[in-house]
Amino acid sequence: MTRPFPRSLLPSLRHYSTPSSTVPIKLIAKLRKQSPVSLSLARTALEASSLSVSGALEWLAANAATSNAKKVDKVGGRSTNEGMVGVYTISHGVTGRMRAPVWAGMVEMNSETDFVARGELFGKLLSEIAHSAAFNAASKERVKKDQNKSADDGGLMKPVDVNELLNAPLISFSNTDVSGKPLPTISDAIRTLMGQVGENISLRRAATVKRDLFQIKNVGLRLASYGHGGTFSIPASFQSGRVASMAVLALKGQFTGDTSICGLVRQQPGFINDLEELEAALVRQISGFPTTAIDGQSLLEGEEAEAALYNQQFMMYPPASDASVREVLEKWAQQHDLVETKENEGGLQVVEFLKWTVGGESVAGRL
Amino acid sequence: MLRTQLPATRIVSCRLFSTRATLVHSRAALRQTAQVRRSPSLWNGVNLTARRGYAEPGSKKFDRSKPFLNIGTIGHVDHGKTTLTAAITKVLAERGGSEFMAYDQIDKAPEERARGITINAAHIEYETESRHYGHIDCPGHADYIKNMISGAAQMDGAIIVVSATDGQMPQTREHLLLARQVGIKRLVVFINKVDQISDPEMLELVDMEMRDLLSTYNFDGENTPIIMGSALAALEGRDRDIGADKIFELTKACDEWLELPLRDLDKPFLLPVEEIFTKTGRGTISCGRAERGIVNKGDEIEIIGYGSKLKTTVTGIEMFRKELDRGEAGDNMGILLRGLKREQIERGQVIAAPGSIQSVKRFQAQLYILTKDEGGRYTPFIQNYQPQLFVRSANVTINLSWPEGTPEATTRMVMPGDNVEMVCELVHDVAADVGTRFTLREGGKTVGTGIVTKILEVV
Repeated sequence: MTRPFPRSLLPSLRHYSTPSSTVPIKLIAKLRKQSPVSLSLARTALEASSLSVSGALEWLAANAATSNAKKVDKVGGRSTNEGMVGVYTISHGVTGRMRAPVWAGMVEMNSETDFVARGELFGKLLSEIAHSAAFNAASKERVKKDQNKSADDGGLMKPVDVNELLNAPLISFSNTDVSGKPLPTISDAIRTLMGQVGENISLRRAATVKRDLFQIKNVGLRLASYGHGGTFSIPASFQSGRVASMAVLALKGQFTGDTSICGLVRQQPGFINDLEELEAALVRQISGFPTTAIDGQSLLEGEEAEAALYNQQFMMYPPASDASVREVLEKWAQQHDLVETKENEGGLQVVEFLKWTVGGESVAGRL
Repeated sequence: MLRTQLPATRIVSCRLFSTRATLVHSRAALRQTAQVRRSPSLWNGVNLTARRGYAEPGSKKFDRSKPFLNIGTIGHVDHGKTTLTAAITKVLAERGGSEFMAYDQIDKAPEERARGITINAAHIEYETESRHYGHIDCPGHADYIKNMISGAAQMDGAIIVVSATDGQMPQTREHLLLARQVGIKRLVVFINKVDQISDPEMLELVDMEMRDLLSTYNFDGENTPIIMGSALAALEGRDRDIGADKIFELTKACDEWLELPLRDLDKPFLLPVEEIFTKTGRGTISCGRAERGIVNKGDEIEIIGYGSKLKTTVTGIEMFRKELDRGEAGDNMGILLRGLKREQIERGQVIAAPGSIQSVKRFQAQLYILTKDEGGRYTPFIQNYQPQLFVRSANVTINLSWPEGTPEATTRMVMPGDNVEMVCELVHDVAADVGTRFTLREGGKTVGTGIVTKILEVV
């Protein structure tokens, strides 16, 4: 086999009118099966790495920024009206074992066509960015606490600055690389995707939630999320779709002494299963119905009573039959020994939700 | 978008919920426009140019002698779909089969031009020696599926455009999935921009990868014609061998490879029963507008739907109170059937050529659920939702559920704007085929449209 001309030394990456190449097409095909880059880039990468596919993959990773530059420049200004919203949940909250925090990241990423948004590459990157956003917020909050700056407005869900997020590292949940190499930034990862799909990709908004209640024994928080119509999902942690939402629920037990909310959960086999079923229905109800608030009292003037979650007939929860969301929650709390009667303090409440539609408004509700 | 395109749909979908009076009216309107086309000289000086779809004064006659086929281009935004479309019209114009449409005539809306890409279905036509093509540019997945289900835009075949410099892209899979989903069985591939690649081996690779991918998505990868050329060269009139000649080769491949859909007239006879009269001395007359096929006096026919499978003979055909020997698709006719009593037939049944259509109790269908803005629901639903099904003149209650094996079927929800594949169970059986379009209504409003994809249970 003859050694190829080291084309990587040349300034331009595309060589349309070069003489017949010595890169075997089988290798190009093999490389493209592993990394969906354009033909010309695949050839350049193979030439630069002495016809080794693994070498070419490394070359592609190392030169991602420069090799995609031309394509990125070309498509960068176009408008992106399609896309997906994704929610990555790191921790669902309190369980029988521990009072775990509620912890998740939600992100909207846009593309030019829905063909691209439906693709696996797009879905995977969206999940990784949502994952990174969750961590990004975590570290930021710690800094804030140290400086004793409380910019807290009391809400659990906080918006993340998109420009800041773009410069943050992409923390992949599937990454097992411990070599200590610097992680690519989210912006780099988006540019790589732009190179692969040849479309402009942009990040529109991001939000996170991270909260624990270690100090309060009889209260536990739970997080539920839903994405409608996404083609890429990871069971129990990532959902996406044209509409996606996340909701935080609070469980408050009415008891004294050493019992904690965990203890209560432990005592009842099937508690978490029942709860998860209810949570999934609640967050579907929020996503599917034109919900703008949790309780009727926080509705704006002119809004119909039906826009408040608690007033809605709970259609997404089949055991509810014709009952409203409020009635179902009250009954559920009694059945699961959180309270004795519905007049008692405590129970189960939806405390906050956030709903995004691709290209649409952000709807947030707080109790 | 759906609403604005509804007038353009075939009358089939409109007829589902229109009364007879509006039907006659709409057909009269159609006839008038047909006259405009036939005698353009009458309309000279009258400005008809404002709306798309009307013939301009003095324009050519629409020639029906060639079979007609709707064809679409699917491909990545930068791979040259619009350039290819412009090139096809140019090359065929030179051969007398088309009128040249420049790139910016196809890409009409200013914002589209600013982006340099096409979003809406363009209305372009061209003729080859043997066929007449209507051309659709495929806007996006969801948009296209919606148009396909409602019948606003139907592709009978498609050209997949791939650039030789990029090769197939990750979203090419989504393009092929779309083609599958809308029922396209055969495709033609055009590998564009070959003048930017000097290495013939690279072109071989693009060819090989495309054939692989086509086979993965159940297309005939081996025999699908793949044409390599440059649409830009054809448009600019240079390099004939990769330009104009290749475009001509492409249209020829379309002629030879893409299958013609059956014309309504060539299909077996079917007439949805809209009204029934009893004429003393003559018997029961069933009226309706023949949807397809031809019927002759003396033909055997079958009455299908609502549990009936009655076979009898046509003893007379009437139109405008005059007797005919033969009726055909599009005719609004009355049919006299031998020995038929008034109680043996009702609105919603169909009169069809024996064995040509089945009465269906359960089927799978692709549904588009209208959004609030389109006049549909504003809340989602879960399975076991029961709207009314309107198909032809029939109206029955229907139960929607998820196909077997769907994960989380009990809680899976459908939101307005979704397109989904669901199992439809009817309270009464009605005549339906794969490809039959229908409407779902609830409480006086249309909540969705659908198309039958699989018959699950017949009566």
